[in-house]
Amino acid sequence: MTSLLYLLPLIPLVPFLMAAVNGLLLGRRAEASGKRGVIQALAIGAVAFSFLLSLSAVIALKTTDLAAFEKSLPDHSSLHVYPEQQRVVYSPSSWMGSLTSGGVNPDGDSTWGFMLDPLSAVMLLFVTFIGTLIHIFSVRYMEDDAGHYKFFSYLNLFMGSMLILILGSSLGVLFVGWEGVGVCSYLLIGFYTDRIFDEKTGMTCSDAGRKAFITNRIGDLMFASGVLILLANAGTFGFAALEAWVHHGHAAAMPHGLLVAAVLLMFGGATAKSAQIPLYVWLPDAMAGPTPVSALIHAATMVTAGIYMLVRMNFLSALVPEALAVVALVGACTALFAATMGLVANDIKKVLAYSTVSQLGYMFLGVGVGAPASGLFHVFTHAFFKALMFLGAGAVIYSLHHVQDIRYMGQLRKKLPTIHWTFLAGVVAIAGIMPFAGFWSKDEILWQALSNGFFKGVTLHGFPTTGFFGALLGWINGHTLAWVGPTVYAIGLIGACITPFYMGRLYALVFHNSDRTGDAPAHDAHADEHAVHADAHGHDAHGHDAHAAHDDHAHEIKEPDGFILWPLRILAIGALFSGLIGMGLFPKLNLWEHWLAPILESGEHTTALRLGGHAALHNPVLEWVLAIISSFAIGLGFLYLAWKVYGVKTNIPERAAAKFPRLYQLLVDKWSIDELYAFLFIRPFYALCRVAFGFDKTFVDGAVNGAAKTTLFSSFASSFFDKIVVDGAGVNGTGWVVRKLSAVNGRWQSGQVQRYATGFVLGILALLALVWINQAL
Amino acid sequence: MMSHYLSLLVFFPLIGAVLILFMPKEQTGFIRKFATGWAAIELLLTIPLLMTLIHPILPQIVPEIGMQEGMRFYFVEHGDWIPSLGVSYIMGVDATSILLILLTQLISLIALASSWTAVHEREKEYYTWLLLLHAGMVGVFCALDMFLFYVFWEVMLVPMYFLIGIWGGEKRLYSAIKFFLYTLAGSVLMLVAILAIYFRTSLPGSGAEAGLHTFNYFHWLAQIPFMHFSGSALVWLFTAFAIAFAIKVPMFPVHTWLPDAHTDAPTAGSVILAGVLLKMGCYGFLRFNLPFFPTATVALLPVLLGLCIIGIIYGALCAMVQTDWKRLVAYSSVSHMGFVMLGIFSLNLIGMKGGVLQMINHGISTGALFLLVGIVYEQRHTRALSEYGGLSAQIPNFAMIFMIMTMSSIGLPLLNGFAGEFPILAGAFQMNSEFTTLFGVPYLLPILSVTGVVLGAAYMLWLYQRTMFGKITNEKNRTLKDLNRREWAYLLPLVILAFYIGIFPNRIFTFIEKDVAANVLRYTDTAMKEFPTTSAQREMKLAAEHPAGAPAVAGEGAPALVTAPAAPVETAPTAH
Repeated sequence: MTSLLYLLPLIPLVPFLMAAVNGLLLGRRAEASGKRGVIQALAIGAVAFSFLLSLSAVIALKTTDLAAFEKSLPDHSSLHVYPEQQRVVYSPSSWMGSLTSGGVNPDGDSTWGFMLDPLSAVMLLFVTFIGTLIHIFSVRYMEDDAGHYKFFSYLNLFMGSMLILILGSSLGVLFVGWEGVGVCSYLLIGFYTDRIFDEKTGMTCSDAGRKAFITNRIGDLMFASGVLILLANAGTFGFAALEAWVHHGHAAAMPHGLLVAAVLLMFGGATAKSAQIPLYVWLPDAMAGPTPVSALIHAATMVTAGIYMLVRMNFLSALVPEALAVVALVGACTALFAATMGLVANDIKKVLAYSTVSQLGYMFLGVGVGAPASGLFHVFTHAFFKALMFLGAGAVIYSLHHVQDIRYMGQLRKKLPTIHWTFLAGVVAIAGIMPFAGFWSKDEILWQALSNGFFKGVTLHGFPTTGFFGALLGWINGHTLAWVGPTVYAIGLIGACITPFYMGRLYALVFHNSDRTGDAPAHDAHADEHAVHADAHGHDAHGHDAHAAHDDHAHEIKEPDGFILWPLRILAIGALFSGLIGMGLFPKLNLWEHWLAPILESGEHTTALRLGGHAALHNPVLEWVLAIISSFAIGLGFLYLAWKVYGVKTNIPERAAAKFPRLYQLLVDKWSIDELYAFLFIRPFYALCRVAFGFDKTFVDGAVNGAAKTTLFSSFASSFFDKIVVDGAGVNGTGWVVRKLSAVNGRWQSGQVQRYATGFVLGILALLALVWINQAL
Repeated sequence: MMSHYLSLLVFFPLIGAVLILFMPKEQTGFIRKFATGWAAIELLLTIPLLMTLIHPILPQIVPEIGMQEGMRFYFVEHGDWIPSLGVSYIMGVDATSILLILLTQLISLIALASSWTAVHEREKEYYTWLLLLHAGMVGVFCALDMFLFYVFWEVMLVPMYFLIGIWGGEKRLYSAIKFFLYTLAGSVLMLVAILAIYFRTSLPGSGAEAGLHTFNYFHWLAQIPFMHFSGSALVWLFTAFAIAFAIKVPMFPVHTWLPDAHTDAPTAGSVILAGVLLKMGCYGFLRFNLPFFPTATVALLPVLLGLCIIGIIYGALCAMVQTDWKRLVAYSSVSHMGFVMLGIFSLNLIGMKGGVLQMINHGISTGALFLLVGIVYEQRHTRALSEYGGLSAQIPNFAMIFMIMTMSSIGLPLLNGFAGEFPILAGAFQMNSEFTTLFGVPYLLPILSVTGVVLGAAYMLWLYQRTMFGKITNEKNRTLKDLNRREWAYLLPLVILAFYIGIFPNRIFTFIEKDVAANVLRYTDTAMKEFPTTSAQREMKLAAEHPAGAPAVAGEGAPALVTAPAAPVETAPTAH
């Protein structure tokens, strides 16, 4: 069984290889000859293989006696075993060698490797499992689109990158996956390269992709900076070595402010990847991509990478609770803020996108209040119910022939019964109705925030008191942070009220209310785009057929086949019941906590030391009962409210909008954050670029051209001088001039080359000065 | 035993150039095939150099030309040239030059292959100049005698001048003259500095020539620390060399020749400029500036680092607003070369190995980007970005290669750009805190350099989107043809290399590490330790307490490398 652990690299490698086969070698030819099945089989096979291999590897990890296994390994094995953390690292080779001047990696060769431990195991399993389902879903959903091979190749590329991110044994390998998923996200958001995404602003799908990539790059700037600061101070960025470094107390020896800065910078990277304030702006526009992509990348897997990274770094961040306070506050604010935008959005996918941003906020909230297991649990359950709802939305869009606006849906529960009940499962899960998944994870986070006392006794200190920033930050020194827990709880609770409401609204408008499917404007822009798209890639008749069929059956709505329905059914079961493995109410039955305990021990130990041994919560039952009551009240109450407003056609929404026109408009405009960023950053940035280039042309290059002109002028002048003055004045004056000049020159012609050099440089400087004056005039 | 291997490498293209001169100029088809074939043979001749990458060979120490223990050069050959002036013929390579020569051979061959359909006038001259240029470039990377180096350095200028001036774009004369004068101005400064040092050197030994001046690189290395130059004189000498090399790199603010030269050069010229010529500046810093003047380097380090950072950001900002495809790539070069120089000036092993690798990477990715521009330019005769758009539907293979090279250029992991950039940044973050702290904010300087990565993504992706995505709006683009076999043949090696270096960088890193530590870092490390700042002293103290942490490289011979350069045979040579 243990030999399976040597196969860890295959988990990301197989999807990569299939991506190459589909994307570079076979794909276009297979598609041109109508053999799409080959492409699909290869792509799905790769991911399914990764899932099965992951499952076997995890079983191998759990069934092996690691301590004994470690002893059985030869001295220079490429497999490293850490029995305490139940961790295995397989590093087949050193990818980049050492990145510190010390030359030797303190942790042997395990920096560049693949690491399997309980944390990567859960990520691995749900990512490959959901990934496989979404690949299957895509077969039917993408059938009308040209560039099939490209789509599946990108999807596999994404899976490979995501698996590298998860399996990476160091921040360096994690960063490889981190960047990789960013690129795949870019490619897939912009998959429809010739479509307009947003009619109002004229944003194309390519624009949306680019926006996502560059926003993520800004995050990467912060993430890389944090990682490299850590590397410069710790001498390694391997997880195992870093943990040892912290364990031996070296991290405490590092300037505290620098450690805070490093963790915050890494969190800054997470705000981009996981769509938090202030860098969340790319995610709503990421809905320009095909719906399976939104489900896989922009809901279930990639966007949770930031939380995964923070949970992974928990052993370090536990040292800096003040940084975690920032994480919790940002998470809570995002959870609430994004939920408000979800209230008024009309695009079915955008509602889900805002919901995703909001739920990600809860995950950060959990990590921020020192409850990484709860935060990650929400990642896990959310992956199921959000993937389910996105695929459900995709199924609706597919059945309605590319209508995404919920104003043109309604009463679909009879025509699309399976999609209806699976979507409903997602709604009750996210609304936090006991005993479904969202309840166990989200309410646990809120409960932890309220009661775990993580910030007890945390004071801000270590900020510089001198220098420019010292003056700014010095006053915070000594202030306590105990207020953070209850505050984020309160914010989170308000968000938890909004969540069931906008989800209820979405559900009611799509599946109940009145049937408005015929109300769509006759000239459906999307359908048009679609037709043009098929024309542009006109090499397969399939596109035309589909288009023709589209016209015929424009109003015939029927449920799609098993490729779409089976993933929904399976995910629905997950959404309903995946919460049962982590019931915080019954600590003995809380498999989740037990599973992750070896990984989170170090951080908990740090926290326990800080809190004087009282990290464990004293009386969970009382708060839990309260949580159940509030959850029922909030979840059911607001679902009911949404039902009242949207279940049948009423004029309440219009009246509410008319009563608070400004607020309504603000929400519709998404708080005008995009416009604000354009005003504050993007336009000034382009102005700066123009200024820089203008400076280059006028001054830097101008100096050069000026020098050239001056030289030309002086050569004319000297020839003029030669003809008129020298010839004119004759030889008489010459002797005198030469004598005078040589007296001056003699001093310079000392034979010392340094003096020549000085003269040369002075001459050039004088020339430049002349030119500059010339320019200035 | 002396081999003439490097001489063969240098002069083989020259023979080809001479042979072309004897061919009738009407036989253009034969001439271009001959030139390309000749360069292909030259590439095959490089196999022994490539083998050193796979099977490391022992460095050669030739004591009679003044090589010290611990230096790492291979294929050394030496002989007299003009003994009365102290001019000798010394050639030798280390890892840096081997990699650069390999790059030169490949880029040169590709440049020749890319010219077949691009150049239709005066082809005989064109291919002669290209082969001549090839010889000059290889020579620059081999020469270990200052006179010889200077000769190659200048020789290489002339062919490029004619390539731009005769076969270039609209403003070709302006750009050619600008390129020539700019480089010449730097070269003249360097010449002055070379002479200033030359007159203080003396040949060691007891023979008839003992005491004469010499241009021998190894004698210079040994004697410069004992020449009694004042601190400021060293700074001036450093500056003279540095300006010459900085113009070539190019570093801000002497970069303005580059956009013009790149834009107006024929495709082959741009590819060679970006691929090889820019690297000569970096190579000059590594080979001459840093080992000759380590103390001046450290003293001027804040300025140099500042120029790197400005170059990285400024080049990227300018690239953002370009409307000319080639000029955009040219400005991106300014930004990327800033990264290379940042790696070199980080003066630690990580940064430097990244810097050396990034030279190669830049040659590959920017070279490929210029080739790609050349392919569409050949068919449409315009470089204006507004003329293009939606090309990915028309020429999908082209779009695919362009995407890969764009990703390589913006430093995507598992492609070559990242393998160079990441160690450079890691090296920059590991510099002493007095160099990385700006305005009182620790690590601000390297963080600023990371913004170059963000900006790089911004302008490259926008370029890609403007040219490749969307619908075809300009009907003329519907006639564009996708890559033909010849184009595939010369692009594919670059694509494969981009992936290979990205996935297996460590083989090249281990190859670079020892040589850079032995030939560059041991000089700068000494200077760094003597640099009178509190944190440097703190590091010294740390090093004394933990001697195990001191060696610069793992593996054999490491401790010996960090010792001070050995004393010269004769101290305090008398010049005047």
